[in-house]
Amino acid sequence: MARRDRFLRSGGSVFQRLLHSDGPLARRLLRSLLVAVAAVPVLLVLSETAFAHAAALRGSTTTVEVPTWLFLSTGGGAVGASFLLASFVTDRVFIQSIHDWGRTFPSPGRLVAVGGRLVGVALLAATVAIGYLGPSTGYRNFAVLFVWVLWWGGYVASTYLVGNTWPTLNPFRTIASVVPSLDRPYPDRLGAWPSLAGLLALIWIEVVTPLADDPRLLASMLIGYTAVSVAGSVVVGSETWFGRVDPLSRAFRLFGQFAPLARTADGLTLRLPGTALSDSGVAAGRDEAAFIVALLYVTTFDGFVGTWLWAEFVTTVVGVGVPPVAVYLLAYLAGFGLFFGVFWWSMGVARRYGRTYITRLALAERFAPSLLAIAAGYHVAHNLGFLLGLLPSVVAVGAAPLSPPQQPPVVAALPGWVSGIELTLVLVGHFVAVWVAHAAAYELLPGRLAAIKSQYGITLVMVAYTMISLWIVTTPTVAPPFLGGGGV
Amino acid sequence: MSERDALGTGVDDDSVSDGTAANDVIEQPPPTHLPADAEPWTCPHCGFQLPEERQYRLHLGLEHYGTLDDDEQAAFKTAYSEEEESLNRFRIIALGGLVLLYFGFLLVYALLAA
Repeated sequence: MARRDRFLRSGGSVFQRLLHSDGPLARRLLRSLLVAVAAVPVLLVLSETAFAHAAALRGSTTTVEVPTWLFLSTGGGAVGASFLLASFVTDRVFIQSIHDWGRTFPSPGRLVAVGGRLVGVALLAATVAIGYLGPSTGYRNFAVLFVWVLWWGGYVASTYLVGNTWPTLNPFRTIASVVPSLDRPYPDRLGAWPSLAGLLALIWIEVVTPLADDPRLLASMLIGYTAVSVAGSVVVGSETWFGRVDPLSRAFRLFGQFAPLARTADGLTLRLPGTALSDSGVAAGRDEAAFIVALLYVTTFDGFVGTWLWAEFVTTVVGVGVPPVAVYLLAYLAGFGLFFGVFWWSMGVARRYGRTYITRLALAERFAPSLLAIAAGYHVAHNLGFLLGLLPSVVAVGAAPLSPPQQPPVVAALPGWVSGIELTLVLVGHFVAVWVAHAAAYELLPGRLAAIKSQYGITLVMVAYTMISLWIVTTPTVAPPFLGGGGV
Repeated sequence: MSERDALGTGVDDDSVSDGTAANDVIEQPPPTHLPADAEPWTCPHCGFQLPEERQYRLHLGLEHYGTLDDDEQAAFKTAYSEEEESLNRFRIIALGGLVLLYFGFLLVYALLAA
């Protein structure tokens, strides 16, 4: 074994020899060099995009006006460049060493877990109560602010930035687990499909109903979600329900796979963010790969309905005589079909250019998790400004939930660097995704060049997606037509 | 260098795993699907099918090095070195691509600022 390894390390070019140098110091040096090189495009793009964004928003005269097409192609170019940079790293030992890096700590005790469960249930109960009893205006009701600002904007970010604490905090699970269960077997052929349908349904409800404006509706929705969870747990058992069916649990578990902290059999494991995404078993089967694509898609759709392009499209189609709900629903489902179709196509490209007989499905299972890094980056970009802007409201309304101020304070003008950070995080998510796809390809394919070429399709998809998501993030938001209240 | 490190070639090995992580269990080779007219090279150890001899040699070396005889080990080393040449060609093209991207954008931004 060691001889084979020595041989692998004595390979040809200078670059290769540098990568193969044995000492831990050399490896550490190289790793920092790699980080430094990766940081250059980030900084470049940060300064450029920040200018572009400021210019787009305020028509500023002090910065160079960057046309949208150039700004978008700079983002796409940065992702393409990161693929080319990653293609220089062809040493399996080195790639593996990055992904194997980690520390293990003892798990927090049972007391913390029980405390977490109680806090989760108490927060759910308080949210529902305030939803019904508090003021009926969304921005003055703590239930709305708590769910959309603190939970969706802040807590969800913690599942991929820190670690997935949802299995402990999940109040639906705590409530459902005390109810006796029939423990009927869950049909294996259903797989993750019900949870995919559930995710699409949840975001659909979020987009077309005034869930962010109407506290009563939100409270009823929370009660409905609890009822569905309890009913599901009664039939198949809470372990199976939250392990396989519940869409939120699945989504946070996948986000937690990106996070630096994870709970394993040995305790808490610390690892580099995103490196666990290339592990095998993150997505098993077409259903779980489709769920990851859906996770990326729903945030995109949620943002897309707030753009002028969507407003024009939907107004035109409704003008022809199609009911608005049908337009929203058909476009929503067709968009998901398109996303999954493009992803599946890119796996065909991987098969062709990677010159391999490995099935598309097996490739998809290993490449799809890389998209989670993009989804995480996009989630921050979508929510950071929103979270910071509404924090004063959360504090003011939270201090007196039943008699909040008439006009809760908000940060009217966020400093320019906030949008700079948002755009950088979109790109960082893509860089991590490119690296994860690179590592996955090296685990699957025996040839080093074939492993690089197998990433052509997914890289192209990522470049296109960067441009689309950057466009959505920087386009001024308009209220989606025909929805009444309008989303957040 | 520890045995664990020596095995860390990015793919699982046919030797016993240390079992520290759930994903360290011995993996099956990924499932394959062959085109109608395919003449695959099939790995005698794990049944993995590959379209080319070079890939086959690399697979044997990376996954089953311990069980290979001297000739097969030599064939793995040859395949690995040969691949180095095509990799170097690719690296030059990739470098060219990076230069093109960088200066392309630099020029566009310069023109725009002018």
